[in-house]
Amino acid sequence: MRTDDEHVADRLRWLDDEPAGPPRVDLPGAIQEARRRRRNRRVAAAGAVALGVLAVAALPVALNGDGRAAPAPAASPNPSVRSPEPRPAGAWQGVCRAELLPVPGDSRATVVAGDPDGRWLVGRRAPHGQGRMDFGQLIWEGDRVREVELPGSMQQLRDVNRGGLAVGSSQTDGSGSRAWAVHDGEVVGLPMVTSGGATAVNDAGRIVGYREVAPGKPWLQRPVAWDSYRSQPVDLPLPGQRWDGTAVDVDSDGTVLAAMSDGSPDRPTRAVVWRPGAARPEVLPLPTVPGGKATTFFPASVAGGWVTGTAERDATVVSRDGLPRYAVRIDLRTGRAEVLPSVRWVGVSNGQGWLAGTLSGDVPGVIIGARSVKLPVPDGWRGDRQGSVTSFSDDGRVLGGKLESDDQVRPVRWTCR
Amino acid sequence: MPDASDQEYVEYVTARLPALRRLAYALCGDTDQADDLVQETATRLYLRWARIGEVGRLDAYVRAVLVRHFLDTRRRGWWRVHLFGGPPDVRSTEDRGAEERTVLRDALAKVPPRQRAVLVLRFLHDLPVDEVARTLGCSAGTVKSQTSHGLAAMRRLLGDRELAGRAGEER
Repeated sequence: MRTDDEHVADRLRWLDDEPAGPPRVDLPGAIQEARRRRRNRRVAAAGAVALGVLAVAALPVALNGDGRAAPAPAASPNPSVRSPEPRPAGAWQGVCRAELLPVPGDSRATVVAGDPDGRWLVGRRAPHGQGRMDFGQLIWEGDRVREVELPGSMQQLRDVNRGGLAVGSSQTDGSGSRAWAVHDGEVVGLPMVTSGGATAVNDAGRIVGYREVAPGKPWLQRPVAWDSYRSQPVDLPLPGQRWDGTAVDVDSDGTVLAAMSDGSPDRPTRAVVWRPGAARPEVLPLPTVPGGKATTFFPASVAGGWVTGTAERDATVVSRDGLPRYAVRIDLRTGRAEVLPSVRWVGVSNGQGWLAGTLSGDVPGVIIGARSVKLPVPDGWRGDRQGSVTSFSDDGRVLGGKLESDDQVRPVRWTCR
Repeated sequence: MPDASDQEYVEYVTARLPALRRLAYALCGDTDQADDLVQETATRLYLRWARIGEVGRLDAYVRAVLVRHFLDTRRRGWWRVHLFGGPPDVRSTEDRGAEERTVLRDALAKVPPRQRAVLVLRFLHDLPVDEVARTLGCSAGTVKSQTSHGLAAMRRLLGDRELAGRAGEER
């Protein structure tokens, strides 16, 4: 080490002081939050979102095989009669361009989810207010943007369907969380017996999420489904008496995907699916990853019969990002699970089983089979090409996400041919 | 519902709190954010608590969780981790040498986060290169090069006549 390096190093040692004032670290709060996260690993693992439904016409869905069709909300046009936006035809070439989405005022915002056509995107602004817990919501339809205020704090719209019906949740004072639907700028509280939240919606207007089982114990959740935003929520049947967790997505055919564990908070998170018409849920087997069987699997999305998520395997040597993590895709038709290489963060999959997310170097990108495509930055973008993808249309032509640079984060739409 | 394991967890974290706050404060230079970092570290530690057996490795593990979370927040910001808001503001300490420390802390805050973490772990926490490499999940060679870059950045930022002069001589 050079002499002046030693001098700098020496001076650095002066900085080893504790911050002034009493600590405001809250250990009971940490325990509570950890327990809640076990249920909601989807958010914790991918930093992400509820997402995608499928690009085929919505099918009537029966929750418990009773043959009752799920009515679409009146406000939501029948997706089967909507003509999709004109798109370039032909094979997907992976040639994409990026554009920043409009944001009124403070331009810092991010896309959280989109519909299967890529016409609607939902997102949120940088937080403001006390403790920076207040998030303004944004809904883009093409290039038009609408601002939406949800009551409470920690607001987040998590999904939107082809009819522009968006769902999400927020924390309310003292009483836990609330589930919301937004259509045409109107905010509607979802009927709810206790507190809970909505995580996804499909084109038939079926909404899934969770309810909190006991007051003051937000980590104890049960997956629920609403037939429409006006219906009372129905508890989904559990795989076993002690299981708890939250629904994270709903496919266009009504298949519901949940992240659950078996009773004790220390049991690993598993993927659970309810297929339309089936009497009982299925707990998906843990996928095989390099080194053996995964110890836990955090499901992120279901689209077109493809479940994607993140598998972890316990290891004695902890890598830079904690336990080794693998992006995994499971084909619900065959049960076959495969590890998708070169994905750093699972973002979102589309109805063809294509995956978008964050590649190495934090670059946003797309994985199709063995091929990975890095997504570009818009003209004039300064700084790194770092970001992620949170919306991926079924035809692969429209993606939504964000780009980050220093203190900036901007919502982005990529269009590809 | 608290149980014996919870009690051990609370005792452990309470005992480690001053050290964790010092590390967090050195990394981010802001009291509020330091406590947010520690809070998040405590949460993540609890998630793994039942599976952490060897206490000998525990301190290193917790340190790694904190440092990596710090680096994550610097890379991702609020849109992934809601506890954090804007860029770090650098506050002065009010004891002896306050001005010097403010200048130092200010400079350190401008060093890229990964280099900053290497400097803090090596020189404030006196960890050997191999341990820093394990903490950050990179090679010893990377730690050495990051140290060198970080120190160079500090020299530049401090703009101290004496240091600038020395650095200049070597160019």
